[in-house]
Amino acid sequence: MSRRVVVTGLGAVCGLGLDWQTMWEGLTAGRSAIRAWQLPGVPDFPVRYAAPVDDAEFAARYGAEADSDRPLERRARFGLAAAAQALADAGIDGPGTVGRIGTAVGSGVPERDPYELLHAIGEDGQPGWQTLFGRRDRLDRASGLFCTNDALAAGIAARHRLRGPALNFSTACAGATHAVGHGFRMIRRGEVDAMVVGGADSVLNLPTMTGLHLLGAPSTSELFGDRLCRAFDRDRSGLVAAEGAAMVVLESEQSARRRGATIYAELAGFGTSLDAYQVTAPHPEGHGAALAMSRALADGQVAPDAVDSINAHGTSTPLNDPIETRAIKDVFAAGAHYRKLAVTANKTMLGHLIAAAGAPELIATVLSVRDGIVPPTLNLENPDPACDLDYVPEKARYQEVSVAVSNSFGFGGLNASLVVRGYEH
Amino acid sequence: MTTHDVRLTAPGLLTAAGTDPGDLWEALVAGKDTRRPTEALAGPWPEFDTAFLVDDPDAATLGVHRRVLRTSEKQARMALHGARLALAGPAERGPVGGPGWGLYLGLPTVDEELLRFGALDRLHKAAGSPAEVAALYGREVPPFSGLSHLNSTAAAHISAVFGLTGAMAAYSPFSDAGLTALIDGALSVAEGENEVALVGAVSPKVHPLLFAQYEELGWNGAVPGEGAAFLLAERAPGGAVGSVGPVAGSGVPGARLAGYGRAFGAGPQDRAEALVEAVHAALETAGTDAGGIGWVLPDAAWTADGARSQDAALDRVFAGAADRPARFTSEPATGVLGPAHPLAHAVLALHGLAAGRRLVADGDAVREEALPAPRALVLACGARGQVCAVVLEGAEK
Repeated sequence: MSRRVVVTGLGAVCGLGLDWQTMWEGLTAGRSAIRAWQLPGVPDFPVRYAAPVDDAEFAARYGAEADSDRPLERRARFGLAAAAQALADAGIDGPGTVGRIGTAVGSGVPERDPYELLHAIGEDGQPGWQTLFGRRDRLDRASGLFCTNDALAAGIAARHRLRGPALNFSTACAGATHAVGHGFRMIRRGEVDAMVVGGADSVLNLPTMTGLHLLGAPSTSELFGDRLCRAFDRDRSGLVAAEGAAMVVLESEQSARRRGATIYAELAGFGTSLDAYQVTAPHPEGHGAALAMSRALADGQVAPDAVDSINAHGTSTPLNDPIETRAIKDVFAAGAHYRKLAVTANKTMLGHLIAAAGAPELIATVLSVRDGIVPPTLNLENPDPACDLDYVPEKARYQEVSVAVSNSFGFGGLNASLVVRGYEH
Repeated sequence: MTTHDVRLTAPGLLTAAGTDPGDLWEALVAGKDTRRPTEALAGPWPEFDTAFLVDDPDAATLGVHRRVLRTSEKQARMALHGARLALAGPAERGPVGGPGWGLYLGLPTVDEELLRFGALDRLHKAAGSPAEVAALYGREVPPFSGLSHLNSTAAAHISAVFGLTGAMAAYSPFSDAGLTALIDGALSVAEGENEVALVGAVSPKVHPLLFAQYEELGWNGAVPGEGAAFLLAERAPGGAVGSVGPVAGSGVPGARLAGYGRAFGAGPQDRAEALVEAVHAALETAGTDAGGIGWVLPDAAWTADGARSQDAALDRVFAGAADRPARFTSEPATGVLGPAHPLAHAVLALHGLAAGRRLVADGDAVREEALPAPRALVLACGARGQVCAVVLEGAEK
């Protein structure tokens, strides 16, 4: 059995807004969530910009929905809120609305308490595992040690009484895109009728930001202020970290039509690949990235010249952007079609949501197709000569988008791409 | 959509019992004690001082440059070792790697202390100043911790070492992740996305913080183990069309993933229901019923709820069967292997299916006997209610 899969519900929690409508309005207006930021009490931490979620606003809006009878990590609270929003948007209220519903979520590095051993052992304890064993009840139950990576997928399924599979993907920055793609496949082959898919992440804590900083991933530049995320610009200097979540309800066309659901777009194809190169850098010729895009197009039976727009991974790192450009050229070379592509980098406004990044970018891709608007790549003032595509600089563009591709490329060369097209019965 | 028959071959197994499925089989039959003392557990920390440990593989064992060790930790290295064991099989398959070779992994999270005990004094002194704590982290945290703490780095290493550029996925962090990797890896071949998928899973390393995590999730004291289990899902020669489902009768060697099911149930009662649903789906896609199963390998029962759910589900599924198939777990020789547990069971089942034999627990002893039906049922019962079931089937003679 092979079924068409459509998008019927959207949910987002990010620095640009606490719902998908606000996020989309911000993206099309060219508004950025990136701002001056510091780790609490650490003014001299080298990374000084980020795109955080406003805690007070989030608590005011989602206090109950993002709560649980068990302690939760920050990312899980964002994810629960985004999932509730997406299900409500899809008009799904409990398991009776649609047949069998599953969950798939992309997650990254667990959030850890930087003081965990100190909290457990205290000032008087002899450092060692025996002391820690005796005082283990002092460890933070809301840390990733206890709120394991599967807590969000299981939490969404339990809260909304979803009986289909509950999967958690660990593919670094491609996690959410893998979750979406595998949910898509499960519906297409008839294993489930609908899936709540997406990702949630929060890296804005000392342990994770230290790890990222030591890898040289986030920009530490102060030359451009909050215009620091400069995908495809010659002065780009690294990613800008963000936090948040986005979830999408995917549904079989048959199910969506039967219940008269709003259909935003069709999810048509999914492709993945491995770089087989290095854990610290992408393949220099973009082979893995090109394979993922090609496979997604083949999976959706979409010819490259049918694609109008690409929602790029576009991290603003020195390595990613020219390599992704080269990969796009490889895939869309026929008839130099790549010259007509509108390529956009949402991370210039959203920041990099790491494992969740693919989810809000998929929402933007879906809405691009629905509304005929390509959001801009902000801060692209001096294009890198190695980045010579049409990146829709600075201002959104109104144009018909029949088919669009969304890319996510994870650390270590774990790549995933999705193909979205306008829905026609 | 084109679909292909898939066979499961090249089992690679790393456990406390050795580096071969036959080693594990023999250790179980002989009742061999494969546990080792572990210094970290000595004393009041759980009430045992041994676990099912494996050596941390070195660069020579893994066949890699020493710099790989800096961007990995023990779990990733065990995974790489397991992959190497699977890919060291018969050479007639031809060269390994390339765009037709995919990778599907079940991975635990990396649970270890962020700062070592040696830095605790300094952390205590700095604790009043977040800025000083941040500076301490900057000095003490290893430069590649951002990669070694990221569990998916294991996939990057395996891909780089063996040149795999096919379709991939990695799941975490408990046993359902391992069986999901097997299901999706086999489907990727059945649906034509990969020609071959390297499927594997690895246990968490045995570390004191793992016990704290297990305890939070309802741990019943079952002894943990370390290891990795890998195999290949590959297209059956001859291009027989069938998908994951009944045997197409192509005379293909090796066992096959005949059916699968997966579901979710939050509480113990719901979990049992979900298991029944998953097993029925697996039997249905395999084109068989409870009477067609010769061997059941349930998940490691490391929580009381999980054990009860699994028992209740299996009692219901096999209530009407004339002969209830034997249930067997490798735990006495491997310990609880987390994501690798159901894949170790799958590898054990492949070993049994190939010989037409199964293992049966008889009190504390284990005996070997003929398989009454050429199919094994393997279960995974995730910590929070995620459940999977697969039916493995011996190839037709």
